[in-house]
Amino acid sequence: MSFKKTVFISLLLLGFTAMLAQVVFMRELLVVFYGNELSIGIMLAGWLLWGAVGSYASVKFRIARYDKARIYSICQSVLAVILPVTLLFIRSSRGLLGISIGEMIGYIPMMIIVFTGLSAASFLMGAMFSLGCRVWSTFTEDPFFGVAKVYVLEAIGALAGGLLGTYFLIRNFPPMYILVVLGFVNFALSIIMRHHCAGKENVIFRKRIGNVILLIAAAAVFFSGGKYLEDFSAKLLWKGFKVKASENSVYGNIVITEQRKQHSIYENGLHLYTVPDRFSAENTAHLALLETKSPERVLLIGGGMNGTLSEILEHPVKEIDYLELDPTIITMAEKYLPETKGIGDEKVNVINLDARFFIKQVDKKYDCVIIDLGDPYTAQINRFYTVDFFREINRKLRPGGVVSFSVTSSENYVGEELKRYLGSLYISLKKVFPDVLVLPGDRAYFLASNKKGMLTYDPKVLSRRIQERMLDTKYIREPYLIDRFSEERVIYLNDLLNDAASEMDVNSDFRPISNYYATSFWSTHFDEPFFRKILFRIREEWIWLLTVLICLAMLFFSLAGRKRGVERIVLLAVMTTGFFEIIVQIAVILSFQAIYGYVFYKLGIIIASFMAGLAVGGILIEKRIGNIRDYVKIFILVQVGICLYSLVLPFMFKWLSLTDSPVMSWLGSNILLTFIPIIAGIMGGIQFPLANKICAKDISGAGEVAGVSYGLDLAGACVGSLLAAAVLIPVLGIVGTCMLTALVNLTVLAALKVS
Amino acid sequence: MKDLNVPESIWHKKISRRDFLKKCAAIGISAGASIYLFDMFSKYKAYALIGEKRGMKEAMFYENAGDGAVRCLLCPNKCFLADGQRGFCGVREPVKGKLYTLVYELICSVHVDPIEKKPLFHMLPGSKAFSVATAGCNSRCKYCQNWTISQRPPEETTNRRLSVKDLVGAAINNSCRSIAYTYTEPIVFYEYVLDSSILARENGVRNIMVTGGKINAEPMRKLSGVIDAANVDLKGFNKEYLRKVCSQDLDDILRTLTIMKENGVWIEITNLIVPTLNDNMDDIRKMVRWIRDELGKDVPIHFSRFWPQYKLRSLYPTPIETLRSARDVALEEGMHYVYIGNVPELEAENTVCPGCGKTVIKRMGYKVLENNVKKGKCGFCGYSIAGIWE
Repeated sequence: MSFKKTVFISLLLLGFTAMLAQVVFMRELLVVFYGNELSIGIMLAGWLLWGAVGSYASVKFRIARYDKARIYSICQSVLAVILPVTLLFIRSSRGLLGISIGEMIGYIPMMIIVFTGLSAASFLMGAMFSLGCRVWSTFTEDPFFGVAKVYVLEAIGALAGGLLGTYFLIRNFPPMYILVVLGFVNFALSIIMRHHCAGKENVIFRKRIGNVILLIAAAAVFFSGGKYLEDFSAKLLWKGFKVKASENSVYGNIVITEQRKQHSIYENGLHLYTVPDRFSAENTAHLALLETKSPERVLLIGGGMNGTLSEILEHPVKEIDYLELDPTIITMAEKYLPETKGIGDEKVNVINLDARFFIKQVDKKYDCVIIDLGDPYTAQINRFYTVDFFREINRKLRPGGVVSFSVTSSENYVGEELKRYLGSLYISLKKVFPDVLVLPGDRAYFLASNKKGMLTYDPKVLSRRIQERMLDTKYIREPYLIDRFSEERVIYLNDLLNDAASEMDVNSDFRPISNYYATSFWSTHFDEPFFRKILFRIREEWIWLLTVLICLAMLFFSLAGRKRGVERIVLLAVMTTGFFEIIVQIAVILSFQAIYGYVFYKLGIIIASFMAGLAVGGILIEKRIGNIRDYVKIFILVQVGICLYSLVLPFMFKWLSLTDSPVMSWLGSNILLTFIPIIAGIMGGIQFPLANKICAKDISGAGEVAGVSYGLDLAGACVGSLLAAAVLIPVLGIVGTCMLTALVNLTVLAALKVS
Repeated sequence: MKDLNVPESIWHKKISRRDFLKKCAAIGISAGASIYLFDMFSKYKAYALIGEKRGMKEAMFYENAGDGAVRCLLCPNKCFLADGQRGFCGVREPVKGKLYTLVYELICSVHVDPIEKKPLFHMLPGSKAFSVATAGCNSRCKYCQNWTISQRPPEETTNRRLSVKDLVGAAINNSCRSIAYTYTEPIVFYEYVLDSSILARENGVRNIMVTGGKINAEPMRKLSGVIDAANVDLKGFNKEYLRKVCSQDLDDILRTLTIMKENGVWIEITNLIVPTLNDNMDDIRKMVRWIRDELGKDVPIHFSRFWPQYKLRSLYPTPIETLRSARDVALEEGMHYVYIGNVPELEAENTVCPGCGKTVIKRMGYKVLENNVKKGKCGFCGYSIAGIWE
């Protein structure tokens, strides 16, 4: 293998490693910290931030004196070790912080773990990118071809890493194995690379045979250590639990733990349900079905494995359609929880489809729809609590049909954060259903019907239905119902909700505000006044005000200091484009999940087509860069494109969500889905090498510039990922967020134009 | 152009008007920002500073510690508080050397509950208890059911004023035979509990304390004079567990129980079994033995099931088998009344007469289905069933 080829493969591998490691670490972190959009944002931000720092810092080090490729290869071998060590650190972090089992972790310890844990791996890879640029620019006449090339290679590697990781590796191999093998491949390549550098001074790797022996030895160490490390670290992660089975699906990690005559299922580290748990199963099934006059066709979304199905079957139902988001839960339950009842019943249809997708297609009508998915802490779950989804359900509901779901509440006192959260769900239900009933308790049960007067607060009526239907319940009996429907507590809660609803906005697909309120409520669990207060106080107007201030500051920064003029603004533009790219990806994912239902494989396509866009953009510019006279002009043109794109995008989504024609919906879900992110990617892919070309007039060396601009690109993405899904989209809505992105990019455009 | 060869001392540097304004603006902005940030990061505000006078009353049990500081002597935390500093409980604060409670007659939660919900099974079965709470608590249990109020200071909860007089009046109007100080920790709103209890007693209303028992001896003795019954959460018998998960010291709780016993307060004990954290049967046996030897066999023990709550949200509910074992241990050790509420699978909600073995009180959930206790005695064999029945 020639030196150039080695570097070529090495750079592809860098993108691949970075993306795959990101996928693995994010999933593992989710298991430790559980997921809500803010915590996911923090994790991603931590990862990107260190990449940015690494890329930027490597410029500051005076590596020019050393052999760049050698440093690169040293980084690569260190990375090989760092990858598994990082996972080990993540898995042991609960123990290191002295957190008891089953305890949720606040944002501050989370940030400590994320920012320390991910630092080494991400920093190294950021540094390797900028080093790689410098190495590659030695191969080309014009160093900028080099930068463009590295950018393209990295994007292609990342594309492969993301797809292969999510859809194949994660599902089939334990995370530690993946990282160990990944580490080994990196190590092997670094040895080969060093062999090439060894021409002059390296003594150790002079002989080819020595390399082979070293590789074999390394393989032995890596692979034998892999199994031990996996078991050891998994034990650390689940300390105190007796883990019976653990599997990874495309959606997340699922673990079944065993206790005395009971099993608990955990999804991404969060307790989903325990089997048997008659109390929860009876509540979920019977409260909804008793409120339904004649439940014949029932739709159950999620949660069927904890016994709810068999409770539903107690009623005179004819057919149950049971939808589970993640089929792995069903296969695991069948395998490890033989006592699970209901799945095999002939009245039960198990359907492995996303419920949003299913409800649009199905031509049945139901008497009762039970949503058992837990709190909308993530945008993904929030889709089942939006006014849009309620409308879709309403269309598939028979007259007098009932919808029910339950979320965390508090029996004795509802505070402000909880009030907003419950209030937003309540008003969203009210928008669609004329009859809404909320039952107080540590779980609040929301029931709604499309016919006024269907639902009753009278426990006597319900207990008569228990007798009529001859239900053999243990918990849901008259005394329990009397307590659950306690007039005084019902009035207390409903007064609060009506009060809250008057000033609350509905939770919709394009503005998932309940997701934000749920995150805000989550923050009240911890003794962290800062997060609690800031999440409680954030208002739409504030965000706009802050954005305008930031834009003014950017203008000031780029126009006041005359020293560097265009270069500075161009670098700023790289950052805002990084921000834009992340926003587009998240907005596309959320919109498509909402409009077309959650089709996980298509999610991959969105990310992949974005990466492909980056590569295409990079290649385009690489081929043309020699013919371009005015780089700034092209750069400005692309910036105009970015602004226009952010302005047009939300209306495209809106329009897609409104059209009913099957042609459009096919076009939308199959063509536009891939098309939209590709364009965003292409624009980013064009801007990045151009920015380097423009700036390098001033700073010597293309690789150095690339280090800075790549760092800024990541920094922009870091801000975007921290804020977009957690704050901006829920509070401003998708339209507002895109407008905000447009405003930020317009400011940069204006600055570019002026200078 | 500046002459670069002459270094100027910062102190003598002439600044232009523009620079001056710039600096003033910078200082102003950073001062504003730091005040705002300080507010964002701080949990408590000095109550006296924000001018909130509602709920303020001079507290009992404290001593001056000089310089306007005080030491609160209400509970074993014994907080040393400088002027304007808030106690661990979040509801007590000194102003100029005088300690104030901030939640006197300032409640955040009020409900009418069946007395069985407290839970008290041997007191006026089937009656209603007028239940009140204020913000604040002097423990930090990670599984608290009422964490939205117990772990917050009063400025972060929605409160309303309910005077001692109105409280007793409301209890009577709602035909409640007792007032329960519950949900959060009544110890931290001690003054309100004490005053209300005195008035309630005068009006024939009983007083119930649902408490973790983390209180000093002297205040407890005083309170014992007016409290009729208490459900004490003996959260565990393992010192390390109590310290780590609840921030309590076992000796304090045991002392409280002894004082209550000495003063004739009717005691029922609740023990929440948290899987893996305090489900060790040896500890449970030790606890039951202590109760039997120090308080007597007639003290009812309620084992309760843990549900994923508050910070321990990702722990599973207590296995029913564990609860069953705990109950067996308690019965083995000779306890007369061992209950497990809200787990109908175990059928451990009924009161069985230790004399004849017949079910004297039959319950389902919080409802009494059958009551055969007549004047404190078993309706079948005449065995005296401990408790408050009239």
